[in-house]
Amino acid sequence: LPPQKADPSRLVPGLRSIARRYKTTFETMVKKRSALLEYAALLLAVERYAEAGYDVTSRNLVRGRLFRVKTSSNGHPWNFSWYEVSRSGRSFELLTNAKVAGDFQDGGTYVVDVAVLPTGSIAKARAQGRAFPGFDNHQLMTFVESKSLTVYPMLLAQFIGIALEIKPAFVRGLRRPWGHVRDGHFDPTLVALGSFSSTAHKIVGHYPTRGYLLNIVVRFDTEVSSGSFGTIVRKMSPQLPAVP
Amino acid sequence: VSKRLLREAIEDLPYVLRENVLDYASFVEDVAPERAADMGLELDREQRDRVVFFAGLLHLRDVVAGQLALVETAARGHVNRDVRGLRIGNEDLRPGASYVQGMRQLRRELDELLISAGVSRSAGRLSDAIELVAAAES
Repeated sequence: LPPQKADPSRLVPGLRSIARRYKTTFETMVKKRSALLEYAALLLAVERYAEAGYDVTSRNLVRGRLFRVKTSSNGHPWNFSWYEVSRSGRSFELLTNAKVAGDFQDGGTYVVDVAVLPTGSIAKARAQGRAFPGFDNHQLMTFVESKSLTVYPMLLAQFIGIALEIKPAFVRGLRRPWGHVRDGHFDPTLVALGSFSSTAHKIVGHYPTRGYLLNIVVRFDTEVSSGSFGTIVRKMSPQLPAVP
Repeated sequence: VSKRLLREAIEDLPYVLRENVLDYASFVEDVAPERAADMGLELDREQRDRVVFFAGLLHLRDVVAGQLALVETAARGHVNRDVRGLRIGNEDLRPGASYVQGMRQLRRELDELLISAGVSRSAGRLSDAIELVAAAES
């Protein structure tokens, strides 16, 4: 390349022009980033079950076959859309921003970005109506947290704290819950738009020696843009049995 | 110097995005010499500044490309063909929505800008920015 080709000053006017002309697009992008990430995390979870041989059905779509995404802790789950996955008589519901009780029976409730619950959980919640306090902890099979951030040590510590409060078996060096592997569930997963900070990848590398059963997915959007969810799904633990 | 230029180039972006790019540029400032050394290259001060600038720009394109991929994947329903799009709040998001089209056009323009500087569509890593600056010197 001739030296002038890599001259930053030549690019500044062009970039400023793009930033101005696409101001609304950039602003919308920032506003939607979190909701889209949560929905994409939901699709990742759904894809994982599809890969494990489950049939996938969408539930409670709104007019025009649109999936109504629950984007915050507000609102009742039955007023939004969800996915249902079924295999050999076993089925589960997957939804975003689900309120669940912690494991320690101290009254604590937590909102997970993606929850996997036995089918019927949303109907039971609906039957309770406005008194619905959140899903029981035993209903939560596994979950996904999503962050539009670089994965730095404090973010990892926060995720481990969430796992410890909600599904401690996965961070106490214990065995996975009974049926977890049989049913093709994935271990609690953190998906992030950013990459690892300079030390975070070393920390994650030591998780197996601590008995942590967690998935950390970095550069999620870039991975999606370079192909499908399939590559990520196949890397998630526990590994799915090879298809004969 | 190039972080100042980068700041100037992106000053019209929304605050969150601007900070995201500048945070990444700061990270690159720290790790670029070591990464270049791993590639058998030594960067002088001016080259390091240029690497920071280009890495920041590639990161911005990466963010846009990633968001476009997420929105396209989300809007088409991916594993479930029954789903024709999303409703987020009061807004409907379908594959042909003006926001999705705007994102595609934005991605194209960023590609064209970078191609004019000799950066390929596939470049995205820090090592690509280092190679770009090193190649311009040789």
